Amino acid sequence: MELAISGKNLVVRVHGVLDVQTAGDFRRRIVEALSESGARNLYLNLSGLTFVDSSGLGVILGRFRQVTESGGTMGLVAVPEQLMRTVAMGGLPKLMPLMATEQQIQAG
Amino acid sequence: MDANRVELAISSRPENVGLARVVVAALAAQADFSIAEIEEIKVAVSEAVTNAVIHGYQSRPEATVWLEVALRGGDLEVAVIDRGCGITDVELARRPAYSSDPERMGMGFMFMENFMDSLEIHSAPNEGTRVVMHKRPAVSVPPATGERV
Repeated sequence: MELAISGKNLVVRVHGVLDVQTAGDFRRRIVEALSESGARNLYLNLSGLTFVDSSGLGVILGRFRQVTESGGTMGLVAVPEQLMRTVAMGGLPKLMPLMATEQQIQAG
Repeated sequence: MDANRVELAISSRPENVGLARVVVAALAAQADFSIAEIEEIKVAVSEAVTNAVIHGYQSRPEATVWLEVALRGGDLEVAVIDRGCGITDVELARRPAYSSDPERMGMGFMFMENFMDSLEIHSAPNEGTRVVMHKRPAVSVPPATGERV
């Protein structure tokens, strides 16, 4: 997982699996990065994500709540095609924009 | 047709959820499932085993989760069994909004229901839970009949 901060935007590039084994660490690192950087907006680049289930989607939804409650926005970048059905069934596209590339992120 | 069967007894640990997914996906790959269908099977298995580890056994790594997988013709059957705390009200647990963990949002059973063709949940308080799921490939590919001239 790589973190990039640009103004008020925190971009997290996620690699590997988001399930019950990895979701807790993923949550801690994002919560820490949000609080240390002072970023308001969170973008997850999922191009390196190989698997996600409800444990992973739950952490993403939890961060959506956290970010929007403090007035920020959240988006997903480069959702892999094979994970799209899972991401859609979890309701994420109804809540946040899906972007093809990081270039589509609005400067923060 | 004789079934191709795999049975697995695993410690109730989060790191074994990925192992369960890989085993079921490898068996499913012997049938005509598409890549998208195998992804759905992996999610459903992940949900069932995660429920056993987190809810059934409430994170007791010394406990055992059983996985029984069978491929009969084109039909994949996956059973996930624990002898944990059980579910008091199965119908309530299957409702989309139900979860004791606010970040999981009760999505687990929703994925099992939507990504598999059938889902049965047998559970009794303090006895455990048995989840049985079935799936067949949506498009059946006829077996190869040799070279066409």
